[in-house]
Amino acid sequence: MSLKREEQPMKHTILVVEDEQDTAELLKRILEREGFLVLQAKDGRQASALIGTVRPPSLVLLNLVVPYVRGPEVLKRLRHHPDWKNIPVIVVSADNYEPDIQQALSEGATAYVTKQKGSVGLLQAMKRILSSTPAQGRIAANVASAVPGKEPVSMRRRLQSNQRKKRAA
Amino acid sequence: MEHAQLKWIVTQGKELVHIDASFELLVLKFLTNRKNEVVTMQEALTAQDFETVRAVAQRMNGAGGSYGFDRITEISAVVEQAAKTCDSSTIECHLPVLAPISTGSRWSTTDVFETRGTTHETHHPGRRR
Repeated sequence: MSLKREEQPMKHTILVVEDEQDTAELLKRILEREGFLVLQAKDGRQASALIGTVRPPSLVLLNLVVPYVRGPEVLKRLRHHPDWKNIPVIVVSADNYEPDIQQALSEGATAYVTKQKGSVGLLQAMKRILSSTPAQGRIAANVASAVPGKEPVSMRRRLQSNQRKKRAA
Repeated sequence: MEHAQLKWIVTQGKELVHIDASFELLVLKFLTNRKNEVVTMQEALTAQDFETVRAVAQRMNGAGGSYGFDRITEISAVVEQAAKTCDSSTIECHLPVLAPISTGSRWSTTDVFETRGTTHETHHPGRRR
């Protein structure tokens, strides 16, 4: 017997901003298999159009190198929108150059996961962030449980970066 | 690193990739697109169009990382850097290396299916493409 609508477990919605079609399809498949609802934007213009016009998702996966409106600008717009400003954003990039990682984090990214880290690493980062942020963007209730184990490297880096900034201040 | 869609194993000196059956078509499409991109880069190199080589290599770099094809990622990163400095000889050296990887010359797959809630795995070693 199927559950009544109000009894169905809620699902997190994830906005994936990715222009490379194969990667976008892979992320969609992996995320849906994990029980997420996936919203996709194939460039920065589409992503910008979604900000403020749809219900904010639980989390955004953002490739910084996307056409029309670049990732950092999308991030900026998102952080300036009252309903979207607290949405966690994971930058997913092939770029593992440390200054670029630090720049993305200083511009408002919640975490930075390199594509080379693999889908399992990305899912761990997502679940960790979703379990530690207030419920937003869920269509129906189950907060993904925290994944045991190490924090993603980029999260540690962000914490270290914040600590350095506090010390400097 | 771990990928949900595939696992690399080295057995008897051979490198094999096990693809989760539910991702097999996606991975094959991925490889076909990379193969086409190698051709695009070769044509662009002939025309000394380094910006196209750079852009395609950058795309390939990201896609390779996402799918877990690390050699595609490594070599496309070299090609991308070489394109930035218009270093045609480095690009010429690396594109032929990239081509056979993108064709996925040898495979084995892991089929995953469910029967009454139980997951089984069937292994088909050394399946040839």
